[in-house]
Amino acid sequence: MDDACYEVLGRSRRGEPLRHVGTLRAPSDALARAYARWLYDEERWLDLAVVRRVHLLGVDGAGEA
Amino acid sequence: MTSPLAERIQAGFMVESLADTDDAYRRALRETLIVSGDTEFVSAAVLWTALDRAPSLNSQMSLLAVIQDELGHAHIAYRLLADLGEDVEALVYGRAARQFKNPYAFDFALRSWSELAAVNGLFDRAGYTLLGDIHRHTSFGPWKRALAKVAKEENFHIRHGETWIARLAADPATRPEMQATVDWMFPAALEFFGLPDSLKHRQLQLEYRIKGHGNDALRQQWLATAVPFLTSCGLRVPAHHDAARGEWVLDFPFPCAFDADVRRYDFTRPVEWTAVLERWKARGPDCGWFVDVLTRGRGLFGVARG
Repeated sequence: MDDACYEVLGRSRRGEPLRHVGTLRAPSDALARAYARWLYDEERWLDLAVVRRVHLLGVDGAGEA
Repeated sequence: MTSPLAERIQAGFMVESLADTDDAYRRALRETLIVSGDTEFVSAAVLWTALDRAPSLNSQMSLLAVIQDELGHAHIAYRLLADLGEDVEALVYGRAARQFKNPYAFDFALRSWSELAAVNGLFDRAGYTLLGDIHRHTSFGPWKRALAKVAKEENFHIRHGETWIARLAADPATRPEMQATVDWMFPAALEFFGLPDSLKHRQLQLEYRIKGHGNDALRQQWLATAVPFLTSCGLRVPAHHDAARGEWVLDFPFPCAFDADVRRYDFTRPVEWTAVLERWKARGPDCGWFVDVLTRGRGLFGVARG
């Protein structure tokens, strides 16, 4: 799996779920944060987070395909 | 002959991963994503050529915001391709300029702010029509979700273009130039939608619902908003609505001959689509250096990826 790949998660408003808004590749966590801010600037996010794709662990077989 | 996957998709199945797909689906999706990514990518270079035509600091900032958006949209398409197993480094940096799949109209540097206005108001409207259809109808879940961002931003680009077209058309000093711009960029925008459905052999994109509508319907959708807007600005447009037929009708032979040197469609010289395909294949005048500008920095400072 591509360990430089990050998933980007955002929450627009209080009370709403954190949802998947996109992906990006970055050579470090710091650059991943910076790229997410510039790439996914379509909203003023209440929360915006990045997580390495390799850290998403499938449960009960889900996500292992 | 439709595949079992195509039948499931027609019944509402959403594709979420490679494991859900067959070879033909992957080919159709790949082709559509490459056209989308290349179009957004090259458009950034096209828009860049109008930076020194911006009439104010504010308009220059707006243009830079549009350029940033377009690169972000290219990034989305190329990221999805990477997740499908495509070597995106080779795709972006390994191809010759003429292999990029952007529409012919994006092989032209902009000569004026009115041409920038028409790119936003007419060409981005074509992009919005094509991608909006994919956003609403596509069977590929990851692209559907990613296009929420694209739709929002392309809407801003269209509004930006409309604001400037209306303003330039309202001023007697700039109106002739705005009209001359529309005269060539209106037919050029119609070419974004490709061949008429009657000349397409097999429409895998529709069978697999990569997109929802064929080229003819999407061209009609574009006309339905572009013509009323341009007309409301007092600009002449070679198309009208035929109430009896319930569709938009062009008042010139489409396709017709185009002189790239003077950027003029000749309405007295209809041509076959084969001639248009040859013109597209030969590429427009600025195709080569656009891609060079966008890719020549690769690998500087040892940063090859990310």
